[in-house]
Amino acid sequence: MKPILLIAGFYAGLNAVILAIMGLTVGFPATPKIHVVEVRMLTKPMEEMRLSALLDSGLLSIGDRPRLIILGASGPAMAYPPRLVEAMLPDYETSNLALPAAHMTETLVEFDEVLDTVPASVLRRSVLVLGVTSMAFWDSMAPIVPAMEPRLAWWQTPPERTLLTLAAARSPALLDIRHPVRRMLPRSLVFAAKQRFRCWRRLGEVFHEHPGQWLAQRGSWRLKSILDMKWPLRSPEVDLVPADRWAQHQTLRKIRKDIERWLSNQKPFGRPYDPRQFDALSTLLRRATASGMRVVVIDMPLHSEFLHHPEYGSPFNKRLAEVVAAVNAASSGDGQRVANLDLTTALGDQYFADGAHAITTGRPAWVRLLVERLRPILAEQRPNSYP
Amino acid sequence: MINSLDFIAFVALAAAGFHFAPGPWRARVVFPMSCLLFLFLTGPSWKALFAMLGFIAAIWLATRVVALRPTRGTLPVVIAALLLSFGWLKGYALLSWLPLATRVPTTIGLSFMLLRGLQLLVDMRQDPGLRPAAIDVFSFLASWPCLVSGPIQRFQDFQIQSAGMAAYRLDDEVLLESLGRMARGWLLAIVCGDFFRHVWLGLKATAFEDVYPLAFGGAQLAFLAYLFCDFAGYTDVVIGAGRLCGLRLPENFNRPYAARSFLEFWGRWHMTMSNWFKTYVFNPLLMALTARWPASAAATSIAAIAFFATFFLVGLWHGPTTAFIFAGLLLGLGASVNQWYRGSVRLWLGKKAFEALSARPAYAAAAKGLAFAYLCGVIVSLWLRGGEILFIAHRYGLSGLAVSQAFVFVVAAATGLLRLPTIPWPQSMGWRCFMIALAIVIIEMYLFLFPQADGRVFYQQY
Repeated sequence: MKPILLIAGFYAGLNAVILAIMGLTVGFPATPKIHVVEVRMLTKPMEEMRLSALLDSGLLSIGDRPRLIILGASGPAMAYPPRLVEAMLPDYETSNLALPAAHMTETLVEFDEVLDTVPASVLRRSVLVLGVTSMAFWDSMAPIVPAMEPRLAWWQTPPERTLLTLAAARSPALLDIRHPVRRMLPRSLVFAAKQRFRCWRRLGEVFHEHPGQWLAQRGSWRLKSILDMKWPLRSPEVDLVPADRWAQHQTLRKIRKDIERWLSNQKPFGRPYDPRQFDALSTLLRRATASGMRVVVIDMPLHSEFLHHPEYGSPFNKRLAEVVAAVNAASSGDGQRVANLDLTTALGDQYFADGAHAITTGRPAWVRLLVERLRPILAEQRPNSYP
Repeated sequence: MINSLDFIAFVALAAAGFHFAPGPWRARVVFPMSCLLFLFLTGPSWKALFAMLGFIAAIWLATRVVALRPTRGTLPVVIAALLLSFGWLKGYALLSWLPLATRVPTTIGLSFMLLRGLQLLVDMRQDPGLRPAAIDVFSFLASWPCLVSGPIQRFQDFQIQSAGMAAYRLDDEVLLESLGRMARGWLLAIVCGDFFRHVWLGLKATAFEDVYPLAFGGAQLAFLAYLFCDFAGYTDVVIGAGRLCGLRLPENFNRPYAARSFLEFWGRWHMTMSNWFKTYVFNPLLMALTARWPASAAATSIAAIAFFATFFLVGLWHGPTTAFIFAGLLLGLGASVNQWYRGSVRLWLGKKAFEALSARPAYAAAAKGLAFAYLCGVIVSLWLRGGEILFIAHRYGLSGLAVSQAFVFVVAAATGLLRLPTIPWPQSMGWRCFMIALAIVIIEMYLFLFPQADGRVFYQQY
């Protein structure tokens, strides 16, 4: 036991030295304190979402036009660029607040921030477009992530965009304020960093996660500085062009096999869905309708590779429709009704960059489809209680 | 996985259970139970757990068949059946016609179980006295220190150590040796391995952006460094953990970065796998070929052929995809050319002159550069899919790829010219404890700054 006691003693001593150095550097405890709200079931830093929504919805409050607010995960984030939507739907000022890889619980947090920030008078004239896929309701997206990566053999990727894709995969390791020790850092540091780089979304989009990555991009092989790129980022963009049909076919076969295996392994434990995500959806819809917004839930278009498995088809659509119906049934007479659009099979495979995301050249088709289906809903008579 | 607190807790629990259990119980009850618990905890699903147990049962049945019917034809049939069930469980596309092929769960450590099982069966055929009991077969195949990525221990060695478990005593020296080895392994895997992983991924992404031969060459070197730190670190951890339970696992690495030729590299890298292939593929094949063509003039060519076949199988062992088949062919080509060159030049210059030439620093550095440039190019198939390799080949062209490999050559050759001093570390208990505590603090600081490091070992996928 003597070695263990000695190791523990040295370990405590070394930590004391490190803490003393840190305390002398940033103060102990740091002031002002960072207020961290603990929310369960979140995989994204709370502060990221709050700030993202705050800044974006801060822009919303400028001007008096009705707003079209798009929420959801990476599907709507990449498919509906605000300028393109505004070009086809000029009556509305569009903001795309969709967060890549967001679960419905996270979208709910972001939406609450919108409700808190945007004036009620603006909200009552606004439209909420919530784009969803079944993946936002799974308890874990990790197994499906490899299947969602753009294939380099499959697509030729222009240099700038590749760098952006790489950057988007990073996360704010150094400034993740949820870590107990990092809470000592002044809140202003996080905010200042965001302002400095005008990054309104994930900090990882501008900061190198790791010195290894920094090192890798130094030297003669470095293309250009990440900071030379155009900011702010409104949504991650991946500019992809089909390259090799054979490679594409092979990749699809592998993806299908991976997914089937994963689902097969999941079966003893039941469906991969997390019921709490459906609760979050229900809550979000109730809050949106109560605020007077028009709400449209869109079952996002999917590549045929995803549609072949029944798990992605009718069972999810049915469950989504049940939630929407329950919200509509529970809403009072003067509340808005939630519309549900099933667009899962509405677009051809040529408009997809991977299983569920829009290819850049296909975005006009995605937006056109959205606007065509939205118009009849927006043209409907609004309840009398709202102007 | 091995970098998680769960694993540390598991090792502590297993070591405590092992230490406090009565001697005769250790090998018969505590160790097998810890293996079963490890399978249960690390298995991706219940189905996977049953699949792995089923595979172990199949190997045990195979040992029974070989024991009961020790005829010449039994072993090939039994091995063929095992390989078939292995391919089925691994979900090989070649065997997709088998029933339930698409529903087979994902398992871990199956390839390593197979190698150990085959070793046992072949040795049983050669040694009629070797007749293992079911519990020994289970402990050997499911031995938790070796389950995920080896090292590949021989059954006979395991049996001797298993017999010695009853008298094993965990004193301060053993404890310190184990903890030191584990701390070094974690430092290597978590800090160094993760660092090189990031460099590799960053350079890989850069290499795909446009034609950047230096980035592609750098990615190859960084990947090799990452693979070494990851795998050697993992091996250190499991060797240290095994020591806590009375197991002396074989060493798997002997400074592979110091190798000065392709064949020497494989003598220093993943040594237990290399030895396995040497014992059960290369040697029998060489003997069979020599018996067929006994002329001494044919010796160099025969050895080259045996090397080619062995290394082709090493490549194929990683997976049955086109990329690995191609990699196997290139590995085989590299080994046979290396052997043919060695044999021919030795014959031409004479043994002494060849040894004198090999000892020259410039020659040794150039040989090292060449070996690593070739090796790094071949193992690209471990981190690029077939389509991606074609994409890079098409985009870079022959000149771009040549520049990439020239960069690898220069870096490797330059390291061959370096002479690093050996630091005589103090061996006192206090100093060793301090170094272990320092390693833990460095790991903690690294994980604090870069919490993305996961605990998966790269080789686990094989």
